[in-house]
Amino acid sequence: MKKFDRNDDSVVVVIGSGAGGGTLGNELAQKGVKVVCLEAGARLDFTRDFANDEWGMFGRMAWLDKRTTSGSWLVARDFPNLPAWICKTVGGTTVHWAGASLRLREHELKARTTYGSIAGANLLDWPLSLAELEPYYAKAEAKMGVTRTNGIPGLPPCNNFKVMAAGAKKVGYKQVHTGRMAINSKPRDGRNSCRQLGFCFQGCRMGAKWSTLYTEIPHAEQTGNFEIRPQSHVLRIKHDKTGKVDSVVYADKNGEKQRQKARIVCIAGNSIESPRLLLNSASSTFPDGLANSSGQVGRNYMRHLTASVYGIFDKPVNMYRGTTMAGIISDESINDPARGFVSGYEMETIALGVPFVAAFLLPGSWGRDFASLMEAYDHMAGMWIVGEDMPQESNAVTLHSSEKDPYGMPVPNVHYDDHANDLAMRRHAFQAGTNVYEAVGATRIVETPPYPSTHNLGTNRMSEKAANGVVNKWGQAHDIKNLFVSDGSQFTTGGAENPTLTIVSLEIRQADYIAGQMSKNNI
Amino acid sequence: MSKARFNRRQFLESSGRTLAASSLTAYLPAIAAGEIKFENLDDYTATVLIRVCRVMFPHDELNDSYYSTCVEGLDQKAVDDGNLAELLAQGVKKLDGTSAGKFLEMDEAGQTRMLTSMEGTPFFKTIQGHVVVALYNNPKVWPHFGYEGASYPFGGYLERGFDDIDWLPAD
Repeated sequence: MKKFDRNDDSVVVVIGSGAGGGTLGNELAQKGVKVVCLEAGARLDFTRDFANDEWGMFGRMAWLDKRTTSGSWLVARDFPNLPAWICKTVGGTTVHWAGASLRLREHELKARTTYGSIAGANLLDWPLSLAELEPYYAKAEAKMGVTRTNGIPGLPPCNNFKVMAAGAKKVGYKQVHTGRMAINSKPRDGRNSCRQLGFCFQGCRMGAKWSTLYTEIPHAEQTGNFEIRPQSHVLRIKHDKTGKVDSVVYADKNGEKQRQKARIVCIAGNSIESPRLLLNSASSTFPDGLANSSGQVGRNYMRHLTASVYGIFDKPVNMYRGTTMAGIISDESINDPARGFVSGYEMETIALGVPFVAAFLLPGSWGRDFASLMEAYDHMAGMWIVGEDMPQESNAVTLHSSEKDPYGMPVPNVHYDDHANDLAMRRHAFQAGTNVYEAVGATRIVETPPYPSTHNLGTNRMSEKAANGVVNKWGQAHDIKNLFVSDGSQFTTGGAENPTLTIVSLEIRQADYIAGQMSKNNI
Repeated sequence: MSKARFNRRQFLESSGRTLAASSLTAYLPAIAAGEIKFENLDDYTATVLIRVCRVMFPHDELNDSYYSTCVEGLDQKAVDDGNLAELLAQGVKKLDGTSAGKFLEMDEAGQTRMLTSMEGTPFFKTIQGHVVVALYNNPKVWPHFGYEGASYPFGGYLERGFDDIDWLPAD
């Protein structure tokens, strides 16, 4: 396997190996660009290390480094030190994601224009159009093997989906199917097809679900242009006298500090760690942090309007048999302000095992009533709501004033208040989900508050003008031309679609741009 | 609520239903006889905590051994957390120290009121946070809830009922 010298200043350093970093690293390596990928987590082998064990895999894969929370969101009450449910492992959160692969819609990319001026919302149109993104969406869908694209059949309907679909039909919803999923319905790309294990969140033991761990990263390694260094936690990005970034400092697996020189640095640490790293890299030249002349680094934190609805029925459902996210209702994913809010939401099945239902159904609950819900576990069907939340400048990832990590760097605080639009949408979604399940006989409904965020977005957002965002339409920092953001923190707004497909598409596109700029010696 | 199913009935037979309605005293002899040993908690504290676990997550068909296992986990956590045993012992004293009498002598409604009054305390939150994982993450209780656990060793559910629901309306 290729190894690069730490003093090799011709390499592109990619920080993170998930949907953003893993994809970008491979795309660059395929073009002959030399890449060092620094990943904070360890490397697991899906054929050996992945177990159908909810808490066991959570302990092995989740990002559990200390984080704090503030704000009125329920996550701060229910999970004060776990604002996000994302991963610290090679492959990042692509080991955990459920596979839903949806394109952003035209109106979602033009949020400011479509929704107008919303009090308290820091809305902006994306600096790129759907037409510009479409060719990259097509490449991403082909790469990931998304069902219902490229002639790939949909996955078969499981019990949990059948309940939701039957209710949807009664309610009158039309856009209902088993989803566009980056899960093989047939063997493809040297990977198995899905055997309906469940446990998609615990790492796919079949390798049927796309994850950079066993696709992009080994493909990149085969080029001889790519080195991944697991257990390499980046602490700081350094720059030269001209203000260009020139190296990164990281803690290796022994906790020793190392410095890797770089021609270009691309940050893909997810929407909490990426802004944290920029803020922690403040210098006398950049006292507010790197790429932060706009003051927007860490701001406009979005997490999707999430919530879940569980219905309890007289007869068994056994929702846990089959894929975690087994289908979708898209009828509510429109902008219809007559509903009392702008933008919309997707309804997607979700299924958890007994251990996670106990912890996440109604966090903190106990007593007879809660126990009676657990008694009905196998009679339960579940859906997750993914809606667009409003970007707010005050919803922000900031550096904690006193708490430090083991390397002496301030830990991140994640502040979030629901916007009135978010609250109105969540109320609507709870009712819509209730209607679906009651239409097929649910005797009891549980409205589950948000889980820790898996869709973390917006904290280094793209903007046309340098004054109101962190990066341009290529993910390149407005302030520093050899510094890129390569994850969901680029999102100008969140849309109502699961973000991974868009992240992968943006990184295929960004790789084209970086390679082109390198060959022209512009960076 | 949910009807008994084949797997649940099987489970009940194997788990000894006669214990299902057991009062806590069924466990005092077990502790006294040294069948269950606690390293950091005294026997009385442990006994009260077993009851606390049950009142927090009451499943009448689960016998006390499952709740005892939760307290054994707390006892083990106390090895690494020097303050935990004291926190638990003091909490138990508070549960016993009101005009309502000793916790173990209260009925379930009274015990629930006592625990409600302590919601939000470190004592309560420590136990609740531990037990909600320790109880429901124990594979031995899963059959009671109709949950089959790991499926990979059995080839997933593709041929084992992933789509076997048969009661939905046809139209």
